Amino acid sequence: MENLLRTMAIITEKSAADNISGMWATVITGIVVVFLILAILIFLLYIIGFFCNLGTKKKTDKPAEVKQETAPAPAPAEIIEEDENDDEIIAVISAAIAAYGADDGKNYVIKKIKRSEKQPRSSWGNAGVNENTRPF
Amino acid sequence: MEILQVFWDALVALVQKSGFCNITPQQGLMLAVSFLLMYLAIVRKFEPLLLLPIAFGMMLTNIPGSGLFHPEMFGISQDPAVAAEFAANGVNFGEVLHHGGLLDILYLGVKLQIFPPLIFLGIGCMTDFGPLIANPKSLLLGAAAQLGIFVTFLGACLLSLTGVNDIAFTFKQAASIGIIGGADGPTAIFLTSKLAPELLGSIAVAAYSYMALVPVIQPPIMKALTTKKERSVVMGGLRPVSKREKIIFPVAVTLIVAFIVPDATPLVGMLMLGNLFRESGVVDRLVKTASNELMNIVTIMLGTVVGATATADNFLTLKTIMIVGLGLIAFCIGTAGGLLLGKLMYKLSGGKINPLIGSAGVSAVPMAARVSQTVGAKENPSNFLLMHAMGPNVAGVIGSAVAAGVLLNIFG
Repeated sequence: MENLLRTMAIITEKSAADNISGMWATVITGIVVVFLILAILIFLLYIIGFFCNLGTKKKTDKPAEVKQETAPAPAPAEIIEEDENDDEIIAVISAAIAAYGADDGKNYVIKKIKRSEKQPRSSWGNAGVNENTRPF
Repeated sequence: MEILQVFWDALVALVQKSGFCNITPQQGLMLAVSFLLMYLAIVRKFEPLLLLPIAFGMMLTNIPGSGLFHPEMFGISQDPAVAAEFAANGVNFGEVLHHGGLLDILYLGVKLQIFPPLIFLGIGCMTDFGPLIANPKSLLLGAAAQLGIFVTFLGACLLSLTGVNDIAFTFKQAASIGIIGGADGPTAIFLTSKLAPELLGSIAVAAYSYMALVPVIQPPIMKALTTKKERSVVMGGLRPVSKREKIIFPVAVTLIVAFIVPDATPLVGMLMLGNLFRESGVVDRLVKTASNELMNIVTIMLGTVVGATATADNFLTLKTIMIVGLGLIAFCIGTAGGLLLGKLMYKLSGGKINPLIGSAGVSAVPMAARVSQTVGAKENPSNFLLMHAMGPNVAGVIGSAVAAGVLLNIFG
């Protein structure tokens, strides 16, 4: 590649007025070489990724439907849906809803917890991502 | 009476030698330009880390009789005869060391290509290539955004076809102007100090000014080239990248780039060395030094001497105005190149890729990625493009270093 570039033999002190073909050759060579090298790097990264993750098994958590009662409430007033069977998260959500209900004296039953379709990330999630990416 | 006469003569001699009596209108104008740059750096916060030392270096070099910097020692002159003589003989290091001023000696760090690679070492220590490794396709966006470099090179070359001598650029000068489109200050300085040192001051000022203006320049282009639907695309999470991948990455990139374009090795090699320091996790002290103290020291010296090359003779020319104009074009085309490929990837991926991340391919880390995030969040406040945009953003750093290597290979 180096020799190829050298053999272009552009008289570098000259300008485009002296060597129009040299101008076009530089532009085409530059764009092609940059794309070529970065394309090779893409290929390389996929290979590295493939071999490095060869032994890694993907963890697939089955989405589970969870019913949990925070209080013996007569009226199921709120339904949140869930896709992750995580007791701690359920406990936190239950506590938050219980605290919310305590203000107006109502009890709620959680039938389902599922990530919202409309908002891909909650405000808390956004805050967490912001915190982690602040250096950028 | 005799004592008074001697005193008077000494006073007259002092006044005659002072800058007030020797300043030329051009030098006065350059001092005003340096004050303007200081204002932009301090008050408007335009890339202050580099623009401030550049502005001060510009002021120092234009103080009459200061003798801090002698451009002729390095062939920095608009006079073709001086440049030709320098090209034949090279730097006379003995003369620089014996008769040079402070900035002459510091300029050796630029001339010998020491400072820009050291800056890249620090950048490597601070850069997380994880988003790029997780989504290797980002590299294509980083490549597309280098379009600005080559189109601007073309534009600068075409100016020489107008037949007007004042705006005619040689291939070397055109290549140096084009690299502004890489939006990477150290790369621009690295290439220009080799190919067209007489334009170093103008190119560095243009490059850093436009880098600071990325949040102003890019959003209108991003909105013009994308639809609301495209800007609203929410991209899925990136896969986790293992430590092993992050360690192999800098070694592999260095080998590939250095084997294909050896001229890019100083920049890419030091960038990847810094990154290997970071990812290896075994040389924390070196990481801290390279990304803090060393980088800060080099930044001070680099900025000051680059500013010092902007003497009145070299800076106050029609070419500087052209460089400022071409630099803006370079940024705009680079942004457009990334966005257009982003749009293509959006189509090919069935709407999974947000084209806004393409504009981050112009380097300017992390400013360009932040702009992608901000513009995307305006359409959908819960959309978080920053980490996706960091992929093309750091790919742009590699891409512009490779482009500089290619130009150096051809014209160096």
